[in-house]
Amino acid sequence: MPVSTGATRVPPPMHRPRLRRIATGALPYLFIAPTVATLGFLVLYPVLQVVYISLWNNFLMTKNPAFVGPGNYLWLLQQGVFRLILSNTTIFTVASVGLHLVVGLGLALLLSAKIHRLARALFRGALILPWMFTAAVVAVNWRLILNPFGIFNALLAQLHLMSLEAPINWLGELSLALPALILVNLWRGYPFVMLMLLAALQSISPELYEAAAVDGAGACARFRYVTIPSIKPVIASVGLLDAIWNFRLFDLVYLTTGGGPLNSTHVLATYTYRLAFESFEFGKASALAVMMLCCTLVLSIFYFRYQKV
Amino acid sequence: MDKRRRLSRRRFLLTAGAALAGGALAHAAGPRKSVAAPAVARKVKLQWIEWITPEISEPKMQEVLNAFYASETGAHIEIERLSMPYAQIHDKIVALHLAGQVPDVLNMNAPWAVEFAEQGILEPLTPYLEKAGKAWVANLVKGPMQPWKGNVYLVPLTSIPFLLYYNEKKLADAGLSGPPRTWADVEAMGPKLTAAARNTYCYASGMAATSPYNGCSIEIFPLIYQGNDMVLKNGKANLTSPAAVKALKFWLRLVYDLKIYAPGVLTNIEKDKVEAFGAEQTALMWSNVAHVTVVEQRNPKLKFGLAPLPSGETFGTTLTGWNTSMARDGKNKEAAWQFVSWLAGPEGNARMTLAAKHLPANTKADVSELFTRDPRLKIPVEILAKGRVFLETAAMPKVTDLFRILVEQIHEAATKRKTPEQALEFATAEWNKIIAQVG
Repeated sequence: MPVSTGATRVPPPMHRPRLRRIATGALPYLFIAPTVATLGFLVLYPVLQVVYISLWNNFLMTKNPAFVGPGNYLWLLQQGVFRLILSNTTIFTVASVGLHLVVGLGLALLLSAKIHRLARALFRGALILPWMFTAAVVAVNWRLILNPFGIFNALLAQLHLMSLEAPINWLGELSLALPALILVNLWRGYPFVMLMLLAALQSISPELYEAAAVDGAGACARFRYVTIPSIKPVIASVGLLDAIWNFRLFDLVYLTTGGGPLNSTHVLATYTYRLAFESFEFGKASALAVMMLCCTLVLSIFYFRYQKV
Repeated sequence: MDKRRRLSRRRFLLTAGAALAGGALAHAAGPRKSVAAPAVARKVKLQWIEWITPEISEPKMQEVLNAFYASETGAHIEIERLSMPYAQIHDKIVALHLAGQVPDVLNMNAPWAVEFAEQGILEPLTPYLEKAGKAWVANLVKGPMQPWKGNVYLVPLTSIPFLLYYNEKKLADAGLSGPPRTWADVEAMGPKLTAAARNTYCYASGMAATSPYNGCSIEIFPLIYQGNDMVLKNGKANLTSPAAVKALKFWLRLVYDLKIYAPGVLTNIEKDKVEAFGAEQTALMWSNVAHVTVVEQRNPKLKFGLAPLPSGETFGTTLTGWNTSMARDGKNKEAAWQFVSWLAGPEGNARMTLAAKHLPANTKADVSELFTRDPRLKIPVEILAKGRVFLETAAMPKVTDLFRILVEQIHEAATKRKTPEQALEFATAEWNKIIAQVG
């Protein structure tokens, strides 16, 4: 019989150490498994399905669809209207993001000025309002505002900039429809950018401004050498996010102009819808959706890499 | 510390495992649900997608359905409605088909029949019509019941010819004794009814290039019929005919030379046109009888009359109407047919027609009350009696695409990027490609 000296105790034998190690290692994965499964079902599966459909012709419309491989992608690239729509989307995205940043920054600077707290709260509330409305409400209201008989033309007529006998059809003129749509999107989209930049502005240390003032910097110089460098990371992040959102915007465009007149306001998302639900070309629509996904993935990669830096 | 952590983890796993096992045992051993209640006649539920309720109002629709439930046919059926505005129905049906959830009964526009039949959304109704008997079928308006590849897919519900609405006060104020009867009258009266400085115009248009693109069928097709020709000839597009070119040129002249149309011609949809007439911004409106109720609801004080569309070389107009179809994959086809046939039968048709102020699709439907309530509704009866009321779209494939192509070409001509002849030539070529593709 072993005699214990009392100096060390013999540990009990370990039962099935390998199984326990496996169970311990697998535990975190088990906890996140429901979320991954849900994401996989709701996100990954539809994406893979769309990629699959893009390789077939007349998918979902006939019992015997034809496998065309990259045929749908080549068809799209050969369409003149596709190039027009790509151009519309690029112009719409770049203009929307640029204007959101300019207007958002301007309003954020105004809101961060030293004014009474109550006034600031009121203005902030009012300026966020456009963001609260759904795309349908925004589209209906702006179609009325920009109608030839709408209040926008009435205002221009009051200012003697236009005659009511020849009212401008802002959403119906080929050269004006896209700029009008960008204006509508500006109204709807600036609040988010304004809020992000406002938060960034409020995080700038006042000592930097004091130091700059002591060095003789005026308001413009302080803006250029203190404000902008301090919030540059936020501008880049918000700009990239805004670009991703506007690149794939569908609801506002579809409800406001439907892509007309004569495809002048069609963007990639609305054209995808037309191919699918009006022409029943689900293969081609899926191919276009995959191309859009690739473009937004590129933007997303830039965004995530920027975040890491 | 490490030992305590290992022990607590083991305890957790054991506890969780025991709880799960206990729960499973408890569920298996627990009390069973009681046996199903004694047999009671269960109602068959049918889903019906329709745009009728927004146009006639909920109380009126409920009256029609209550009459159905009170009938022998409807006693064991319950209707669940999927109501939405007309402009949303087409795309909704496509989306539901892709999801495998097409409602049992569908309120249908005739132009959609071929494209939906081609996709396998609609049940062929020929066997049901044969079972109903020739006498029953003979009472129905034939226009929507054109067969496609040997099968009929629609049963008509109401008949709605397109006609002219006119604002009585505006005509009187302009010194006009009545609405225009010919194209020449339109050219003469239009400018008298237009005062751009006061935002009042003769007509408004609904030629927007947005789904369902039906501006061309409402405003251009009748002009072609009035030129004594047709949109299709021998199953192919006939848009380069002298009548079609003349029709487009006449429309462009009214809009851009005489300027008697309200601005927004290329962006307005049909709803905007009806709103403009109801708001007394326009003096005349080309539309169908379905909008009598809508205009009255918008502006109960508006005094307006109905008249046939102005004639060109001859009279001609488009027929439209509400129709019903059944889903090919419906689970309760017998019940669905009972509902569809009741709606098309004398009683159902009369009730729906009276509620909607349309004309019936069943010649045996007693709607004399309609003309007592609203004598204006004798005008569409007279129009139907004239003949030359056409529904070519019931036999057109991929109508949404065809309409879109034609509307876009009308826009090209309207913005002078193409001549009317070039625009119609392009439309003809594209139409014939699609027609050949579908067969």
